Amino acid sequence: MHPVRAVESNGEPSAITPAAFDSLFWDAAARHQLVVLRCKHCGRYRYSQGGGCENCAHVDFQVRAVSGLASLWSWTVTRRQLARVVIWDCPYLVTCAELVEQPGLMLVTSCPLDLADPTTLHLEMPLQVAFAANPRTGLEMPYFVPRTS
Amino acid sequence: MMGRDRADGKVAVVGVAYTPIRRSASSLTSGSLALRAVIEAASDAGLLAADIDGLATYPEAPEARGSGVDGRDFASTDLLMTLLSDADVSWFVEVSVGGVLSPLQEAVLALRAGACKYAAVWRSVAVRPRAEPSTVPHSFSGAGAAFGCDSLVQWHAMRYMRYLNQFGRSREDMAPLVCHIRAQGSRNPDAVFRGKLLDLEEYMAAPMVSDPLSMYDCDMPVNAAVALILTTHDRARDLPHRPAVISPLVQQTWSEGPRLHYTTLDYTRSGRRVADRLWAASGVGPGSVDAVQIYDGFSPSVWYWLEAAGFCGEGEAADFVTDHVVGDSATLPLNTGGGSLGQGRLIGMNHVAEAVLQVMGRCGDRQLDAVRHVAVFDGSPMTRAGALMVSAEG
Repeated sequence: MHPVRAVESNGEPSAITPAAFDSLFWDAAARHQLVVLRCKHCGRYRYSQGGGCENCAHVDFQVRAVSGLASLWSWTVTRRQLARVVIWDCPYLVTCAELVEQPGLMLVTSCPLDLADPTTLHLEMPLQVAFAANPRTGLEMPYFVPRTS
Repeated sequence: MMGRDRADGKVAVVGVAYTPIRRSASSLTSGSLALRAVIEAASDAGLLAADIDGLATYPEAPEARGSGVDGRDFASTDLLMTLLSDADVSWFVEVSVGGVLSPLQEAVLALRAGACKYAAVWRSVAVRPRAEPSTVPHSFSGAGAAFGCDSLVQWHAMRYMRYLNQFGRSREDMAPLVCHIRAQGSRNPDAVFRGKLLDLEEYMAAPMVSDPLSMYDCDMPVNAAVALILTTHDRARDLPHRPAVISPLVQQTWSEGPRLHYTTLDYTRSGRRVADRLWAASGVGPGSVDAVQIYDGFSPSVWYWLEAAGFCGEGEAADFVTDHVVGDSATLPLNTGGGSLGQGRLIGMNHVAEAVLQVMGRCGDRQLDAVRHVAVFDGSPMTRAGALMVSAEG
């Protein structure tokens, strides 16, 4: 794993557009770092974009690196191409992980079955983020595996 | 002074029509199907199409994802107003958020307010050819699109996986419910699976779509339209069918802020609130209702609703189904027309239509005896929950 470092710069705009967060997210992933939006006013995290903070309604967010530690909320093995974007060949594992930084802060990721065995999964098991190069997208993509330490 | 009938505010369904329900894309567009259903529903109510002066629909095309074409993928009120050229429309509404109960609720209110006399409410659905998937994921929506998880099937699969693991259940526990619903659909001429039973072995051998959801846990996309005609109770009494009174109708959209997806919310919270209000306002309860029609576009939704509506506790739905819904000792008629799993993806309008037809006494060999109150639970008990009671007169 690469060391975690701050993503935002001094010249950061006060409002982060969805397009800007896209590129910040994938740039961070390329460095094997997981980032999330955080309300500048109250500190609440979120992945969803648009609108004000659901805690304080302020609209200024910053991008923050998070630990990559999570617990397993649920998962599915997708066996037919259902999504609008083909990421992996079927079957592939989709994981919904609740990040340790905040209850309800969830991130959905996916990976081929050779990277994570769905038969070993159970609810609330500790997870950690990993990254895999995706040949279709050309991106380093985060996914979650059982926590080893 | 207003007459007593007007003042009591009752609104009834007086006409019902289905177009033929087909699995393949046909030359009939959503617009032509909607027009046919509305005209036939008017005729069923003993009215002319020209008598229709209120129009309401929930036009979101399920597969259109915001890119649907009016007339091809759904049928708007504008389109129906144009097609029903003899009708003198005095009120219309097109609901973009909610579910099929939303236009019904709007029509009930419009009729009570005197904004129209005979309202047509329809839902027209179309099978669309699957769009060629993209390989460009760069938009990070936060809801899984960039990771190959933006299908409702996958989200419901994860909710269902969590439920099965939380409560120690498995697909075998779901089999009796799905087979029961399909058996009832096999007796309904307005069902895509009419005449086609599903047995336990076939269910267990079904191709998996996204674990633990199999093909038979998801409703079949169809080309069809369903229309209902509503009017005030005083007018309803002069029409051919026994009026199916709609009251009360309650809806709730629950949000916990921008979480990832609604399926990650408390799976019964919105449904509990809706059901509590339905039972309180109707004076009917889980133990006294004659039948229920529950949204079953994904089979586990039926379990969630049974728990949300107080038929049993959380995690107990499979046992409740075994004890009270299927088999010789069954006490609760459920999805008597086959629901969406048997009839096809009619997005809940079929559940309302079945409740109405049962109350009218027009269900042929699947007709229940002495039906007075049929509850309809629509949408998701996690967020966009809706419920209504369809009752016999008096």
